[in-house]
Amino acid sequence: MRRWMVAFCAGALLMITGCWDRTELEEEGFVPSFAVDTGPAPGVFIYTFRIAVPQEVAGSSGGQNGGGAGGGGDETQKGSKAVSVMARSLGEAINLINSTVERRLNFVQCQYVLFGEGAARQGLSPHIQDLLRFRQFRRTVFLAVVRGKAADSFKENKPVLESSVTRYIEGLQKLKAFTGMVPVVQLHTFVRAMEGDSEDPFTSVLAINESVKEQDRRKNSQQQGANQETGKESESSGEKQRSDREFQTPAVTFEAGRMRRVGGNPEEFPGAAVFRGDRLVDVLSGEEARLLLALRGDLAHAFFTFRVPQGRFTLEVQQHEGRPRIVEGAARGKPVWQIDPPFDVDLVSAVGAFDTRTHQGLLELRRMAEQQFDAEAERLVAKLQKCGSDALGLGLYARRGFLTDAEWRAYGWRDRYEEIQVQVRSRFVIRRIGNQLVSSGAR
Amino acid sequence: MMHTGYIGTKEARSFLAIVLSAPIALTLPQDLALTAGRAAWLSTVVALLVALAAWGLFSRIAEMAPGYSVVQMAGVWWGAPGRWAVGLVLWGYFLLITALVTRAFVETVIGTILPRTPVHVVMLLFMVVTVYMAYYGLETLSRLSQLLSRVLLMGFLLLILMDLRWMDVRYLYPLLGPGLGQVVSVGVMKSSYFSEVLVLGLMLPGLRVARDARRVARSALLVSGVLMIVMVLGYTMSFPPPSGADNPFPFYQMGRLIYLGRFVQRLEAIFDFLWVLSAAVYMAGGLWASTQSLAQACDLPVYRPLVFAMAVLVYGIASLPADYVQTTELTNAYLRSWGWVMLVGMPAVLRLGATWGRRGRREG
Repeated sequence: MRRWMVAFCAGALLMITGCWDRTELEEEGFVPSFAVDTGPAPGVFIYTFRIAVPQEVAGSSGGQNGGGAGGGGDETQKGSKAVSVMARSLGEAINLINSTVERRLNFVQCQYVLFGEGAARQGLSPHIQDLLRFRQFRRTVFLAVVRGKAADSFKENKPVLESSVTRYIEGLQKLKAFTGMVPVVQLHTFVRAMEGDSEDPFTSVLAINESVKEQDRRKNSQQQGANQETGKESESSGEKQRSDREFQTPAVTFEAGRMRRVGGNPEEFPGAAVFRGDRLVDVLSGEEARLLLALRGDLAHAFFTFRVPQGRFTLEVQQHEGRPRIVEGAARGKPVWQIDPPFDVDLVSAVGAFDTRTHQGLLELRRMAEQQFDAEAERLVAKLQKCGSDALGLGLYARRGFLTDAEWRAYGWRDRYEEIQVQVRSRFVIRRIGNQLVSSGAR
Repeated sequence: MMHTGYIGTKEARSFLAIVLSAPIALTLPQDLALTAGRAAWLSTVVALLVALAAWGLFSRIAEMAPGYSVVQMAGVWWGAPGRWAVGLVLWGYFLLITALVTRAFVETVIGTILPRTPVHVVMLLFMVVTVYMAYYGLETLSRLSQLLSRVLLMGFLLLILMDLRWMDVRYLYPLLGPGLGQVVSVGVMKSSYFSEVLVLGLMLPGLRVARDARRVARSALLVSGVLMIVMVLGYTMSFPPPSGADNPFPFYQMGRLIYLGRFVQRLEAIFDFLWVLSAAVYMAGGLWASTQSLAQACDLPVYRPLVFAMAVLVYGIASLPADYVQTTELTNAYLRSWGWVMLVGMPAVLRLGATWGRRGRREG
């Protein structure tokens, strides 16, 4: 018996020396991100995979080279190469790419997926189903919509500070908590909202600023010329001309792809793409995205600047209390809802004739902020209602009043959503006034 | 009957709690989400109440013949035919449930961690471990359970805590989901998840203090019931219907959802380890129970020679379903929908038998 046991153990050891699922790192082509765009015909899509090149990732901190098959040699492509293919599904695209890339594509390290505006307007459901079922994808992968073609994001994205492809999107997530203008969303959150009947999904928007892209292109060509001819002098004069041109129009815009700026990354990311079900229905500006988060109770931190006849003041707001209180009522036979988002506020700037030395003065400041915020937030709600998207998740509040699913379905939330009159009654509680008691204009 | 050793109350409770809680790592949350929607947690509460009531009946019977297993009790009251009948019913039930749960666990391992490994390789390795544990018996199993129980409990609570950021209480509304009637009927039906408590009926002779059986069962049922309710609540709040009903590996997906920033993510490997441990205890427990019930039915002095034969049977039955979908279909449609008949029926029949048997003996 003992001899048999020894023989059995020896045999068992042989069985566990390796396994069917071993993966050699040298045989895998890791894809940290990929993009989906519409193709030339319905049901055909362009898949662009960014494939990590580990040697270049390792050397990217010091090296300047990199280069991608998609042409470039840009900062973002340092450590990765972008390859596009036309296919009818993700699986088909992987097979096609693996007929030209020498290693097996592996998505276990995939951090984010971009969708072109066209694909998002057609409906993301088929692509989302691909992601949900394939075991290599996690529900924590980030999603974003790119204005225009998603593949352009890989070509034109040149982060100012971040050199790693995967850290770029994680950086954006941090910005969500800092500015509130980049409402980055993970696949799981998106799917819950998309599949449910009480809310609609939203996600962040990326866009290429054509003006900055052009500046960048000119700068590169001028740099080449300067190196050959006059050197630094022509470079600085070219930059001045660019900023003069760009800053002639006195409009401040928070729209992705239309911000007025010079230098930096041609890609910008303020704003939100809002959906109805799986279809993109509208793109919000950065300011509107911030309001959206605030009304949902997801605004971790932001700076709000208010302009009033007395001057302007900036508040640093935080939402510590979580979701706003929502009171459902009715007036003249129509449902009227009141949303009360609470904010903890630091006064960080007050330029003009403001009384910041007395409690009464601060209350006045608070009243002005609340008035402006409420008006803008109500405009946003009306905009969302018009496009039929419940990105605020009001349905999740509405369903609390029902006992069974049958009652909820009979209520017909979708039809009633657009009829609801929403009143916003924010609460800006100014807790700190910064390092100055008196504002400049009040002396 | 030869007893190799006795087990204490704590060990018995840990073993029973792990066996009852093991389905949490399988399809329990998804099965309940499918049948009771967002009110799945309420159905779990109903299921727990049914299980507690059934055990209340059972414990009264255990007190009538202290130190006897349910098979032996049937033998005392109805003679050899009664012993055979009860023993074979329990044997068949534990054999089937162990085989199907083994296959489900194996398929879960394949579907999540080892997609290219053949099913028989994983199953064979699982069987080697479970045969070893079942062979060494209840003492080994319960002591191992006592060691593992804290680790498993901590792991489970850690999973729930780390997934808190995904949970939204608003997904629980409307509270009664598909309606009160369905919530209660699903609750009764899904009390089948507690039917493994019958394994205690076979453990009774091994308990050091026989009168502790009632306490062991009640606390094991309460612990596993609360864990099931917490899991189903957490799952519904993070995977609300209809998403929740579409998820074949709910526990694994909960582990995969953990994302607490750049450095704290991709932790599911830790939880894989935990559910594989609980699966090993469950399968060994099931194998031991089916072997014991057959041994007691045949009035054999030892059960060990039967362990290998039972393992081959479990292996064979587990190989019958074509795939994971068929395995879960069979498990959820039959064992987890009709197991309550065993849970409630077995104590009821024994109770009747006890009354008639005693009356008969008195009259005789």
